[in-house]
Amino acid sequence: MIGRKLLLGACFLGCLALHLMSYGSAQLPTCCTANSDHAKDVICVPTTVMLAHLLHIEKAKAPCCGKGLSEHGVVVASMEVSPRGDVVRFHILQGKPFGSASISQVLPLWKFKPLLKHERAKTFCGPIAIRYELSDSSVETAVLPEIPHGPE
Amino acid sequence: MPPRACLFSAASDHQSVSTGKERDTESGLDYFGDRYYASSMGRWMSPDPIWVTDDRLADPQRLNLYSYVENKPLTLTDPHGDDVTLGTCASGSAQSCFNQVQAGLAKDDRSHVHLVAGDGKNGFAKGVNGITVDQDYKSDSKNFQVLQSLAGDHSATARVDVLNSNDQVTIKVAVGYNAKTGNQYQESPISPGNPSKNDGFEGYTFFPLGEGPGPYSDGNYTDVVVNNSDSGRGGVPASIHHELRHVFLGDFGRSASKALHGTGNVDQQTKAAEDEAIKNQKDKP
Repeated sequence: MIGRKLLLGACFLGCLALHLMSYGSAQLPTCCTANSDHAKDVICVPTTVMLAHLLHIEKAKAPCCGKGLSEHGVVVASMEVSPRGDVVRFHILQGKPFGSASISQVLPLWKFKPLLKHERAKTFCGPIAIRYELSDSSVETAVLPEIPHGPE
Repeated sequence: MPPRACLFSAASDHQSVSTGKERDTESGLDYFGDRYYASSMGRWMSPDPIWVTDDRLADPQRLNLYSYVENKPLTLTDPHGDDVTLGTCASGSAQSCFNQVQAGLAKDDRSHVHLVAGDGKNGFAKGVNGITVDQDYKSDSKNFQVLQSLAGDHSATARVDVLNSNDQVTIKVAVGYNAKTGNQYQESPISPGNPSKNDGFEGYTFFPLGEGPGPYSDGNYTDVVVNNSDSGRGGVPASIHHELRHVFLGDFGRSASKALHGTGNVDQQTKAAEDEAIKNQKDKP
């Protein structure tokens, strides 16, 4: 009986330790929810970890055919990165149509450093916020250090 | 070839299964307003009046002026046989928006552009307001030539919507991506907004989903949206002709990459369209 209790206790502690080792999945349910069909294989990480692994930002392109187009805002995207550092999925969680269109065009070309866990590269996922300002022929972007709260 | 769609009426009492158009019982031809189409042969019975363009030179099939939807009748359709329509008109009736289109044209050219209320028999579906252009009339005006070319291209449609700043139109926006399946899109409402307050546009051309950057129109047509409340330099007529130049350069989205600002001479061409519209507006009807 005592042995069984010890076993259950050890299992509980082990599960708790594993949970705490995972990168903040409890704080970022949106990221994993967006990719829920295979969430168990994906490590959810916060924005700081995403940015720490970011290697290359492809420059956004202006939308096609505007006259007097002027828009600024923030696009928030949940990005999933393969063990090789390629973007394999993303979801736009927040953003106006023109900003989302410009940025979503180039997100698949972003590159990340592999995320290692127990010395093995893993698929990971997390949110990134990009501030933008666009006109007929140009779009300026900046990656934000954290996800802004509330309306833009 | 009939120079104007609305001058012809078809003696038919059957509808074609494949094209949905009226079929002449004697000849077996489908009537498209501008031309008769022989569905049994997959060929028009008269040539497409559109002029030869660079894009057509690059795609030999499109030089065949007798072919229907690039010989792909199962995947492409030419629903009305005419190709520039007026959608929402915030400034009042379709006539008032048509007047804005005309105002950007030279005085002598205006009488060769016509507003047609679609009745299902004149080349436009019931309830659709179409623009036809005399195809046998020659003008030196580039704005006129562009409109004439677009209205004569029967393989695609452009709709002009003139909206107030808070009016909405539905477009398609990329909301996700999967490396295996590609982009995921969602329909979303958009308003022209207030460009002078750094949040909107004077005009924008939404090509159909496909090549080129989004956002896209919500159907298989090009949506030219003009802001009636804030159309900036040259007003609504200049914005309409600026955007129609994008449609022309991008060939209804089939060569969208050639319509981008900063590419080739797109900036010069769109500014020239505005300048011509501004100059022409001084000639009151």
